Formats: sequence, structure tokens, C-alpha cells
Amino acid sequence: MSSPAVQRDTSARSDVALYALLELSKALSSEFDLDKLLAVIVEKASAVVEAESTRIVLYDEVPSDADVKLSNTGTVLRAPVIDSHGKILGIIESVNKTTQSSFDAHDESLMHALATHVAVAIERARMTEVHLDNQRYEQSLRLASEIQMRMLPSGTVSLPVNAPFAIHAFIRPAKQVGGDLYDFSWNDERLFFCVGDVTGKGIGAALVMAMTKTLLRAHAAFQDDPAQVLSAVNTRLYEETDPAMFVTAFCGFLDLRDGRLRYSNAGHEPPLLRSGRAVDRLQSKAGLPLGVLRSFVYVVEEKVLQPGDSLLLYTDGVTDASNRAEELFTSTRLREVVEHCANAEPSSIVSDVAASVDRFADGTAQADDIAMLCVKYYGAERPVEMAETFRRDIAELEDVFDLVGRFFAATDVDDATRYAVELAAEEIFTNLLRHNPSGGDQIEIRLRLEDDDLALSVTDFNAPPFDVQADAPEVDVDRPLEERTPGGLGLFLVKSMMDRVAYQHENGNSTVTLYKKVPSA
Amino acid sequence: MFDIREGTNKELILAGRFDASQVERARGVFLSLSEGKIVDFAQLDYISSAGLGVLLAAQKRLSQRGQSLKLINVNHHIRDVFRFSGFDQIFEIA
Repeated sequence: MSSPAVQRDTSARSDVALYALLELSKALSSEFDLDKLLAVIVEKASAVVEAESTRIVLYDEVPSDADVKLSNTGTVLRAPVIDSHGKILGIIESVNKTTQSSFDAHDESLMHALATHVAVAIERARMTEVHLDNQRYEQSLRLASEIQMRMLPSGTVSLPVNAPFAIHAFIRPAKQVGGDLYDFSWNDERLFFCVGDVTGKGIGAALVMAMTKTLLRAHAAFQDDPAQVLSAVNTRLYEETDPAMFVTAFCGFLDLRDGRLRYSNAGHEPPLLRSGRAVDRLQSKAGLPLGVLRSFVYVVEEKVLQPGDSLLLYTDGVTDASNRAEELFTSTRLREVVEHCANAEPSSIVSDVAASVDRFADGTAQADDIAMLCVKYYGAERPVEMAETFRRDIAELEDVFDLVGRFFAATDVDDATRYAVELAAEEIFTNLLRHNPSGGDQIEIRLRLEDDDLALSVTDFNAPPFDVQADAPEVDVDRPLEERTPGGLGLFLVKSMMDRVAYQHENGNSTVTLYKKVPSA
Repeated sequence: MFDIREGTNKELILAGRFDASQVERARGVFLSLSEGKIVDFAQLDYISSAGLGVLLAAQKRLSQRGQSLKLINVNHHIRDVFRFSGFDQIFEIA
């Protein structure tokens, strides 16, 4: 062979090698499956160094005599695969040069490049796998969290406006799944409710939580003795869970007809009872947590709730919430929030406490699960009350009637009373529009039915004193047609159809209230 | 909703709720009357002082010509309103 021919041969050869290397780079950027990628590398490597065959050996454990440097016997060209941390992952080895008798220095540098490619591919594949594993784990946790949350009844409960109780619950696990639980169910006569806290957090606690919740619900469906419910759940939990797992729980049955509450406590924080403005711990003898002893006799305690009383059950995630200075929220703060809650409605108490805990924690990561359940007992004769604010505009009249319509839909009051109230609402509302130009932007209409007393209040906010009845002209219904005028007719009708009118001006708000006795059902 | 229209026998038919937000349309119809009318309340659910004012103005105008409105099919809630206001004395209610 002449020397120019060799020259051409060499240049042709490096074209093939470069092309193969380029193919390899493409495979590296598009192929993420490690096995497929290594197959591509093995195939291309033989083309790059013109070898009979190539193999890659990856070490599970690095042998003590592992190659640390590239070696070339002429027929065997071998390079260690070393990752970015200097760890030897394996070797890449080509045998028998096909185009000449032995591998040369050019092949050595190509082999070095190939070994680097292999190292990068392996490193990336391993990182991808870890990442995918993490993603799969995160996803299964999210799913578990959804399943867990779906096991609990929604914390926001819409009940008829005259239902004898209201209830609101809240739960927020510290991690994606948690060990706190609440539950409630009711029929016409009684409301069952409970809150519990499984020791520990995370998936183990979540599984026991699911079991506890299911057991409590099942036993509460068949009996209304809270101590027997706890005893039964206790034995099952003892038999079926790890000895180190236990659950604190509080459960109660509220008789919706008379407010009699029967409750039992398994090592749980006693609930707070708000009666009027006073807030106190509900006295209870804390029995052992569930799952500690095979059999334990829990006691039933009793308290009669007065209409208007609210009971707040919570887990220690509330009182033990901590801030950056590692201070605890404490039951003292909890009690203050409940005391100062403006209207003592369960949704307000729960959201006030949650907001207060968050303000206190001020961004400090929540260390423990938080659960709350608040029940308010209104009494069997719950007053029905609805209010809405309207713009000072005659076009709002339709919405005024809509409010009255909803109010009557929620009561059993007769049609004649409904007519009178609709007429009174319209007459007072339009009267304020026409005759109180200095009134505020908003007019509130409030309807309330307590026992057999219906009250309709119309309030003109930020208005100077203005009594709609004060300047109303007298109406003589016996005048002949030609002497009749429409003036004062509206208010006259209102007074005829309703029983009593009261007026008050307080805090800059002007309120007319009309009362009517309604036949009791 | 409130509706006012002429029936097959030239009577006026009122339907729905005759409240303060609906009086303008009704006023136009009643003020254009040149003779007495039968006004059918069968489909009327509600009337307030605003509606009564429109009827009163029409009745006064017609009475100067010796004419009048005559109301039929008045439900008992609306009949009460007429009674409380003394309008049962100035309208013939059949």
C-alpha cells in the first residue's frame, strides 16, 4: 500500500469513527432506558474502534483488582468506566482490531471517550430512576392522602336552617397522610361525633386512623352508649394493631330533642364548652387510650347542653402548634380564641382557631396533625334567621322577595303571614328609598322566627335617625273615592297586617322592626 | 314577574306580582283607559300599595265619566289588602 492510500484510509476511518460517536451522542440525549442505551454503546463502540466485539461490564461491587487506567494489549482494548465522583462503575472492552493487527493510540483515545459516555449514561439513568421513584412515591402519597380525606365526612355541613344543631370540622395532617380523625353522623334524634389521634404520623398512623374511624362509625351505628363504642373499638385495635400503636379518642351522642350529651373519653384532651360567653373544659374522666389493654371499661358521663352551647373537640396538634421561638400555642390561647369568637357558630369557631394557630406559628412548619370538630346545639326549637344586604335601588326588590321566599321555605309559617311580610318588606324598603335620601348605601333586611314570634327588621346603615312612621299621613279608609290619596297607604297597610312596629337608631344605623305572632305549628 | 294584557273579552288581565318595581308599565295601560273595564285578578299573586295607587288613580279618573273598574277573581290575600285599605269600598269586587 502506498502512503497516500493509507492517508485516505485513515481519514475515511476517522469519518466512520466520528459518525459513530455522533450517533452515540444522539442516543445519549434521546434514550433514557439504561439497558437500551448500553446496547447502543456496545454496538457503536465496535464501529468506532473497528473491533470484532465490545462488551460492557458493570460492577455491583468494585473488585479489588479493578482497572483504574486504560490498557491496550493490542488485541484487547479496555477502559475503566469512572463516574464524576471517581467511583469505578465497570469496564468497557473491545477485542480484535478488524482492519489492522492491533489497536493503536488513536483507538485508545476513542475508547477513553466511549468510557466517559458510558459513565455519563449510567449516572444519568440512575438519577432518573431515583427521581421517578420519588415521583411515584409522592404520587402514591397524594393518592393515599385523597383516600384518607375522602374517608372523613366533609367538614362543611349544610343543614336545614331550622336543624337543631350545626357542625363543622377541620383536619390538616402535618404530612401528606396523618393519624388524626374526626367523624359524625346523625338521625332525627341523635348526633354521634368523635375526634381521635393515633400515635405517630405518616403512613402507619394513617392506616390505624382509617381502621379506627371505620370501627367507631360501625359501632356507633348499632348502639348509642359512647363507653361501649370505645370499649368495642379498644379491643379490636388491641388485637389488630402493633402493640406500640394506640389512639386517644373522645366520642359523644347528643340527644337532639333535649340537648342531653352522653360522652366517653379514651385518653383524649377534653373538649371546650362555650356556654354564653363562658368557656370551660368539659369535665371528663380520661380512660386509657384505645389499643393499650385488651379490655378496658370506659365510663359514660353526661351533660345537658343549653340551646346556644357550642362544644369544640380538638387534637393536641392545635395546642402544641409551635412558633419559631419554640413556644406552644397552649390551651390557654385556644380558650381565649373560643371566648372571643364573635358568633359562636361552629364554622366561625373552627376558622378562628385555625387562623389564630397559623398566625401564631407564623410559617413554622406544622409538626403534628391538626383536627377540630365543633358542634353547636340550638335546641329543638331553633330560631330561624336570615339576613341580606341590598343596594339602595328599586331593582333590588326582586331579591328582597327572594330572601323572604327562602325564609318561608325554611319555615312552616302560613301563606297569609308570608303575604304580610312580603308587603311589609317592600313597603319599608321602598319607603326608605323614597323618603330617606340621606340614608346609607346599603339596606339590610333581616327575618327571624323564634317560637311563634316573627320579626322583620329593615336597617338603613349610616343613616341619621329616620322613623318611617313618623311623618306618614293619616289614612282614613272610610273616605269616599274622590278624597282618597295613595299617600301613607303602604305604611298603613303594614301596620294593619303586622302586629307591632318598633323603631330604633343605634350606632348610626336606623332600624324599623315589625313583629307578627304566627300560629304555632 | 308581572304581566298586564287584554283578554279575549276586552277585560284586563293582571298576572304575577304587582309591586313597586312594576308600576310604570301598568300605569301607562290604566291611564289610557277611556271606559270602564273588568280587571281579572285570577293570575295575580301579589299587590302592594304601589299597585293600589295605580288602580286608585284609574278609578278616580273613570269615575269622573261615570265609569269604573270592576275586579274579578280576587284571591283572599289580595282581598284582605283591599279590605284593610278600605279599597273594598271604592272598587266593586265580584
